[in-house]
Amino acid sequence: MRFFIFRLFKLYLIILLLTYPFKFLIEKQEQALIKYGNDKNFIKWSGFVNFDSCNTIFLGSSKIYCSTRPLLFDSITGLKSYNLGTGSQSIVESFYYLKQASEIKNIKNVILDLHLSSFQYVDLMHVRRNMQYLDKKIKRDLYINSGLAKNLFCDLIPILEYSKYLQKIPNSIMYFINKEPNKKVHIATNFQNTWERGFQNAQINDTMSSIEFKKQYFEKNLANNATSYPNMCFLDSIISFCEVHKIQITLTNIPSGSKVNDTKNCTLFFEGYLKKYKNIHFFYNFPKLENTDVRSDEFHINNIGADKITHSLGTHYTVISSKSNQTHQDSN
Amino acid sequence: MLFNSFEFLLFLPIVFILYWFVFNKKLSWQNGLVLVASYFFYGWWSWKFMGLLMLSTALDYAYGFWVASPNRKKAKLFLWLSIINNLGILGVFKYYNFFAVQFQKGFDLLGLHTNPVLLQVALPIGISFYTFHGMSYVFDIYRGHQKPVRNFVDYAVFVSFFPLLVAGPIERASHLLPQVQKPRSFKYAQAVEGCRLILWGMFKKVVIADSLAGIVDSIFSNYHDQNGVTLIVGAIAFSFQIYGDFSGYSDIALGTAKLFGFELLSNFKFPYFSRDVAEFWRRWHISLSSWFRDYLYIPIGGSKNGKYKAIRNTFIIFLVSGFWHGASWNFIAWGFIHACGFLPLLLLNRNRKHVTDVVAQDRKLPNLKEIWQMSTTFAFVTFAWIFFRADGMHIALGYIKQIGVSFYNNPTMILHPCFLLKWKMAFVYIIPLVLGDWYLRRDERKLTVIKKVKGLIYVLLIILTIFFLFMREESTFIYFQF
Repeated sequence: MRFFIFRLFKLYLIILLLTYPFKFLIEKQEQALIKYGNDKNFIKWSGFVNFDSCNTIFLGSSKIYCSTRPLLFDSITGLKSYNLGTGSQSIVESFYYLKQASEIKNIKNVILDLHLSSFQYVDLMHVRRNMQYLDKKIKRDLYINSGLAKNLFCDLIPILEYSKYLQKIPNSIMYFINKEPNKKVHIATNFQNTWERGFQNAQINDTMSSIEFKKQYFEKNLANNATSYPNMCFLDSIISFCEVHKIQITLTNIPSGSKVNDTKNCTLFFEGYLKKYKNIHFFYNFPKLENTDVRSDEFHINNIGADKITHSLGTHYTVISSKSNQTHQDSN
Repeated sequence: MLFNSFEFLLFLPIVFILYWFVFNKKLSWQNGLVLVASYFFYGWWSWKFMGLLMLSTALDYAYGFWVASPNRKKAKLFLWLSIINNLGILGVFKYYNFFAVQFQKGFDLLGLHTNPVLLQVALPIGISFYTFHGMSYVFDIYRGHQKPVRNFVDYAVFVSFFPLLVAGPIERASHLLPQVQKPRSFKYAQAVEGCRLILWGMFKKVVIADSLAGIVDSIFSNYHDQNGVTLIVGAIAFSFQIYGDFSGYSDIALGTAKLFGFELLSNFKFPYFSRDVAEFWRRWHISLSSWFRDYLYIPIGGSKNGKYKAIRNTFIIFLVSGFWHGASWNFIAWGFIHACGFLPLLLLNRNRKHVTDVVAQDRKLPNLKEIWQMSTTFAFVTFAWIFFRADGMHIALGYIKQIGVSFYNNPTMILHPCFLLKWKMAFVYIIPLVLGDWYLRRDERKLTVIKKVKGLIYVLLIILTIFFLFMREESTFIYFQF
């Protein structure tokens, strides 16, 4: 028995020895990103930490960080907001961002954009990387709640941490063999990567032409089945957290136009799911954005579109705010 | 809990350590631990259906005593009660809605419109397997092959032993129960063999089957837009997906059982190297086909009462086997197709060839005749898999029709390599599996190469498996739905 366990341990050491060098190869890239401050999420988070008197945050994926302008929103609502949307932000990350943000700022309002893919599969490494600049307590919660076993294996076999990078190697080989053009055509001319309170302040002339837009490859529509979304519990956690900490939460479904985030099906799905909550605001009556003049690519809206979305959101927020104030006054 | 999950990779060592280091003082403690671990394993899926498992276990345990009665009439009565009870549970959860809808369609044809009440219940995982465990126990007692087990924990371990609880192999009481009742000691060779089996099973499931799943899903979901070559590739890919998935699961089950000192029945013996359909069914899902042979085929007469009855009984077995897999006409069609493939062998008395030997027994490579035999058998089996994989009869027939139409419009399509090149990723996964199985076909799962090369192969398999496991979201095993 002891010999058996010894041999298993020896096998583990061999695997560790063979795979550990990858950690140094890839970690250097990561270190460079963070050291030179090019990591978008890190810059955004640092901006938030240094932003005074913030009382409102936007959470969600690039759908929200491209579509809502905090300055414009504040001018309509009188709030002080920061856009904490990050690329491919899953609902797990949204929950931890909210938790951490409410610890360092006096957050009174949260606007969370919902899309089905953020509930489906959580890239754990993506989450861990994005959470690395949060405090230890949050990281410990994340470690346990987002998959203790998986996190443990990442620590035991470090190469797993870099699965996303390594996945690119066979993809590159296949691309080279197939010689197929990259299916996503991203048109972004004179693109400036600056963060205006978390909002990606792109140039106006990043609009894609209608011809390019039509050439886009649209992914299949996601199945509208709640059992396919294992992370719905994190949405419930966010709502409960807001209730406990008296944070007003508004859920939205900002349109993007691609079939991955098929707005109509998304809306129906979330409307159905949120029926169990009585006082939740779910806003989705945004102006139609079919015109390619407001797009930067198949998923994202440009500054012109962002103005329209923000205006619509801000106006809605003002209305629900005044209604709830009225209700509060009447009850008094 | 899935075998291909990190939770299981944590669960297994914990139970292993407790089993051999803490609870090894007494057999009853070890069996108790296995029982608790098994219910924990099952409850991880759904704690709600644990009650059903307990009920089924308790009832069959009780029936075991009544069926052992020297009064044969009483014994027979309780045997039938046990059958009704087990099939009843299966019928309610698995087949009720199917029959209700079929009756509705039947009445509609007669002009009588009905609105049957359909059950909105999920199918409990493993129900087809643990009910069969229970039935085989009661049958064996009735036949005198087995005595009733006094210790309820021992019996419960037999029914709910976690490696085989949710997708088999379907164990026999006479094979597994004595192992449960006997003290077990740690054997190094058995444990190493267990680890090897777990590794190969995980590789087949995580690397091969799950990789092919994406290709198969994309072809089957858009079959009407695909050309004939693509559709054939899809069917072939599914043949290997289901083999990798199911045999992978069985290997993990067998390997896990070995770690705890148990030997389970082998469920697969390289079925795609079969030279005819009869041999295929001696090598594919062996525990199920032998269960149907011993508890259905032989009791209804087998092949002993003339050719006509042998043919009738063969068709019954295959249709029931198809129906066991799912409450849908396409599964019944799958069984029917296999029955039709088996029929010529039965009529020509060639269904008992190749019972003990394996293809290219004393050679490295098969000869031309064997290649022809394996290819035709594989082609037949793959054709039948189309019905198994499709979500309904209309899809299966549409798939086959699309192949026909596509080749009719472009008969020389198969000669154009560009159609195959698009799906070359499928063959990247299939070829290692075929080569691996071919190498192992004689001495099952014995890697007879020099030690260092063996070690390197194992390390490579482990890295690939864990890497692929991590990259993908956990996927269920195909046979969990049965």
